Amino acid sequence: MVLISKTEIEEIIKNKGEVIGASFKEDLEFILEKEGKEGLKKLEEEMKKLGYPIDFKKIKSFQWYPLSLNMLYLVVAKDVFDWPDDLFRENGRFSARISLIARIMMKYIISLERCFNEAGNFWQKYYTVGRLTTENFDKKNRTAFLVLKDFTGHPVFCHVLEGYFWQVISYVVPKEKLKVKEIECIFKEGKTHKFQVTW
Amino acid sequence: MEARNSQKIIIQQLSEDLEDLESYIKDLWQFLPLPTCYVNPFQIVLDANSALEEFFGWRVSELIGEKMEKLFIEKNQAQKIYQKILKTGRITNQESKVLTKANQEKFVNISATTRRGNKGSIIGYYLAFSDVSEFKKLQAGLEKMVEERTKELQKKVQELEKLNKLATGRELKMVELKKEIVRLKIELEKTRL
Repeated sequence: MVLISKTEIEEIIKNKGEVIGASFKEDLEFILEKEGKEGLKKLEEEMKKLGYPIDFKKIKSFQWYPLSLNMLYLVVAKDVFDWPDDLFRENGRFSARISLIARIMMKYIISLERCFNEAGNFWQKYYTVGRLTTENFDKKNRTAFLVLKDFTGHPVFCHVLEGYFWQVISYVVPKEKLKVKEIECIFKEGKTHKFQVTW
Repeated sequence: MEARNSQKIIIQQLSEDLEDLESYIKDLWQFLPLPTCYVNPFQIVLDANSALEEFFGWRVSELIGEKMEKLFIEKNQAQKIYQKILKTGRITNQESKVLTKANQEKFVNISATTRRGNKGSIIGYYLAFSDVSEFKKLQAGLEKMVEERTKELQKKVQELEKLNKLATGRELKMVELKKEIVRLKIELEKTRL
């Protein structure tokens, strides 16, 4: 039985907007990779017990699903599998590697500038809420900021994003020095989610 | 209200079409029996099929995001291929040596073709590997056999030459001896007289 408070669930459910099914499928693959079929079954059972049933196998890549459901199963996964923050970052990196959306966006992953310029476009392919923009792109000093506005999410999801951004940017810069770190978060009294990228 | 409903139906239809397209591409990509991958201009592997997974021993999820040089014995090979493809747009059956996850060397013939964006610029390339290791083994075996046979032949020729020399030497000696006999006979005749 998961130990998520009613208040936390209510907060998660407040997340408005939708997410594309392809994203759920990426998470499904990651859960299967890390926890196997039994783990997936356990997660689905817990979601059902909470009153938010989800059948991952029936998810369609190009249908839209509630973002709140996405956030909720991540939180349930954290609780059920005892995943540390780093595993959520790994989840993000894994998602970007197998992502159908990333494959569609491959045509833009051809230069660093193009990659950052298309961040907003990338985001819109996944979510109906939130705006992702690039700020202070400084090629000389090898830094940039990815700012996510009008989006709540959940702290575990911030780590998923750190991993996802890292993976996509690693396609255009050497990954040895690449770092993506959330430096402002609305769950830590910030106004937006702000990620610092250094390479 | 009606317009909204028909818009919803169109979106639904488009979603279903995209699902079909996704499944078609996925099936085709996975069916291809030739190890194939897609690489961006930074020589980073962005996609690979199951034949490549089987051939190299790397899982697709392990390989995506990795430098293409990981697959080659000579690390500058990836760069060379990219330079060549930039120049020619296509590579057909270029011989190369690759390395599997289990550190096994394999001979391959590489074919590659560029992928271009809407504005015509190169945004990546597809790379296919044909395994010619068995052929190379056979070829090496044949070459070794030919080499051995050549050596054997050379040895035999040398022996024959030696024999020939010996025979010729004997012949010459015989001729000289015959001459000596004739000379001695003449001398003997002279002495008798």
